[in-house]
Amino acid sequence: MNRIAILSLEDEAEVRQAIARDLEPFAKLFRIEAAEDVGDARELIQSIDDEGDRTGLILCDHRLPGTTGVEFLTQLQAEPEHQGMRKVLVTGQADQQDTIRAINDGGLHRYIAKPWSADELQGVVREQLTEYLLEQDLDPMPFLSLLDDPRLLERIGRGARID
Amino acid sequence: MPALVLCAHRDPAVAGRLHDALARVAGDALAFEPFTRFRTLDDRAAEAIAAGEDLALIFTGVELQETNGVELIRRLHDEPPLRAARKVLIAAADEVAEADSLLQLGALHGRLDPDFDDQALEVLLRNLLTDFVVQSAPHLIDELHSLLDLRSLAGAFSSARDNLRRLSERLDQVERSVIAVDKMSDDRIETEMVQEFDHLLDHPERRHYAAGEVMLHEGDEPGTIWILISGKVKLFRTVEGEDLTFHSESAGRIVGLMSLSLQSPIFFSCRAVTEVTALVLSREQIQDAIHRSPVLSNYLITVILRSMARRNRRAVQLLTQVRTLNRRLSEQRDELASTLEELRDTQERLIDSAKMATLGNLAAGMAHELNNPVAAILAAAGYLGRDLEALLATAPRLAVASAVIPEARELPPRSTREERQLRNALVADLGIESTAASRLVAAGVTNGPAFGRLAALDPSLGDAELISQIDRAGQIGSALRNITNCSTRIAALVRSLKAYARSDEAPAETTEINTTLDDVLLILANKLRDVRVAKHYGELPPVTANASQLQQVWTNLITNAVQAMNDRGDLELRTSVPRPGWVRVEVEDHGRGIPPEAAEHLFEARFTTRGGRVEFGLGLGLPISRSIVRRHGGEISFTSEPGRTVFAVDLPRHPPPSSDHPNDPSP
Repeated sequence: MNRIAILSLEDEAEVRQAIARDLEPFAKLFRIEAAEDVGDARELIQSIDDEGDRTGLILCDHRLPGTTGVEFLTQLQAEPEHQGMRKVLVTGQADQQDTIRAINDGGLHRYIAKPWSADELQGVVREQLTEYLLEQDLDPMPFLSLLDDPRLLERIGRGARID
Repeated sequence: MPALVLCAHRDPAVAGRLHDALARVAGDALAFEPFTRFRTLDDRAAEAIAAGEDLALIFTGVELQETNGVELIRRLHDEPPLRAARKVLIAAADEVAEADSLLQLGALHGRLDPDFDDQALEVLLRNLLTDFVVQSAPHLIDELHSLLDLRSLAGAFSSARDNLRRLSERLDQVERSVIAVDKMSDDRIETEMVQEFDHLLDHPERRHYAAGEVMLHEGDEPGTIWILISGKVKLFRTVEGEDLTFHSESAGRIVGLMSLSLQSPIFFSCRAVTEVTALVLSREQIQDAIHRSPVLSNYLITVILRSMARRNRRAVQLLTQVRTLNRRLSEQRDELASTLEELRDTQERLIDSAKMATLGNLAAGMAHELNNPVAAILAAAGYLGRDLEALLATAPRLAVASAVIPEARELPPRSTREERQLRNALVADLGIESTAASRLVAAGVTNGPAFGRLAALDPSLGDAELISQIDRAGQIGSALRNITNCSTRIAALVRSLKAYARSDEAPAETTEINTTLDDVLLILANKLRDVRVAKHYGELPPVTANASQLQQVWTNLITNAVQAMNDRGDLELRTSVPRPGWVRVEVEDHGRGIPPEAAEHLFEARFTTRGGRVEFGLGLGLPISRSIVRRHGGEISFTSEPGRTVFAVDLPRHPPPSSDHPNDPSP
């Protein structure tokens, strides 16, 4: 299948559903997954890999049962196969210390403060997916209509590898 | 033993004549020993003095072998032990020029012409021996009486007796004054002493000092003594820029004497306290006066002794005072240290309580402000759902949505795992895409038959349209559900805040503690499905309390205990009377225990959620519980180790009135 997955990790069902709803526009081209705790997220990432897909973007809450989002992102960043993953923290509760660590050790790319707006979240997701495509040197063509980023056109113009 | 007469003459004939004449005139009352050499006479004289012989007369010629008579007499006169002996030069008139000067000096007592006769000798002897006896040898009176001039003897003794009497009278006077002085008052002695000084030193200088004037300065050279006639002084030293008074009442009437006698610089400065008149005397003046008046020296000694005694007593007093002060100081220091400690504790408690009060006020304010919007949202969500369902019921094209929305509103919470499993099953069951299956599951359509029933409601719809309508309706349903859930959660938080801030105060009533516990167990029955509750209730007296607030405490403690055991296991509830007038409630679980680092902050307010679910109190449970218990005049405590945690609440039967203050969250 070889789809790119967007994974949201959020322990509150209502918030999870709200994020899922905001991610709906991406569902046509991306695989949308949700996990409620770190164990579940691990399982999901594994099964995404197993199914031949790849996790391109993770939206991660900070306060999680038994751990923190920053802790989890830091673990992922330490694993070579997950370093390419775009990492976004969605939280209202990380303090400065946590945030510094997320950036330095967790390879954090973006921070979305709760409460967020759909436009804001979708903008960040679009931007991060674009970065992912460029970094992973993937064919941007199928995503042009959705991501609508001049950098993708530029890449095509320069003769990027097209699968 | 006869009195001794020595003679030194170079002519033995002269000596022989003298010997014979003496024998005739004095008989054996005098022993005569002649020498031709001065040295042998000198030796014999020294020997006689040493042996206690009465050396009465020494005769000497003018010309001697080693010396002459004048020289000899001068030398003999220079020897004090030989002074008493009367010395006679045997010489013709005008033979020796110096004889007169020797006579005047008292070194020579008489001259005997070498051609003397017995009568001349007798006259000479009578004069010289009388002198000798009166001045040096009264014990020879009897022995020599025939050779003495009795009249002048009598005169001499009579004047000696007069002297003796005067001496004895004076001694008596001194003796009497010594005894009298002992009994005399200070003022009297001083008056007498000053009179005596005035008499002896012809009214020595008096000096006047104004009150406050410094009369002498510490470090001045000694040399003068102040005898106070009137007024008061104090003695002080300047220590670290401050004048320290050592003696005021104990200053005494004589100042400067100690330094003078020690010949060291003035030790105390002296300041006139009142107007002062003092007799100022030099050391020499005092010495002179004492020398001339034994009574004065007696006065002086008495005054000095009394002054010194007073100063000494004062020194002892000062020392004792210093010791007492030191002890008191160290007691006060200890007291201060413990007071400081208490103050720190109190301050911490106050700060704590101020923080809590601020937090409480803030919480109360927020709670009130949030209450209305939340209530409105809750109501609006309910109406929205109801109106929407009513509206949909009138639209046949929306029959599917009409069926899906109520389902989605009541959908039980599912884990993301469950949702995925349901989705995968649905993919397999209906052969649809994973994304579509996700939407169906989210809308509450979890299996093929359910999907079939919905499809049957509107056969005109194609699969894609059907799924799209189900998805939309599901979204609406879950949005309504989420609005209701979240605002319910906010309402719960508001209630917790209000309880924490004690804005909903209810009057205290007579409460049966065991009953409140049973009520709570009833309310929590669903949560306690898998928990075995062991009740060990004691016989408790009724307690004056706010029953619903206590129920809130029990609810919180029991919920915490059950959570610690992951909702299953043994819970123990105990009630007892720990001491008269008090009751105790204990909640014991056998869960994981409280880590020590968490124990410290257990009662601090923190706004946290647990695992995203709405929990009782939202992390405020224990602070609220403690606040409630304290408001009742009680205390909440706990002991914890892995496998056993006990929370104990002690309550007085009647809360003290002071703890019932509505605006004080932490008494």
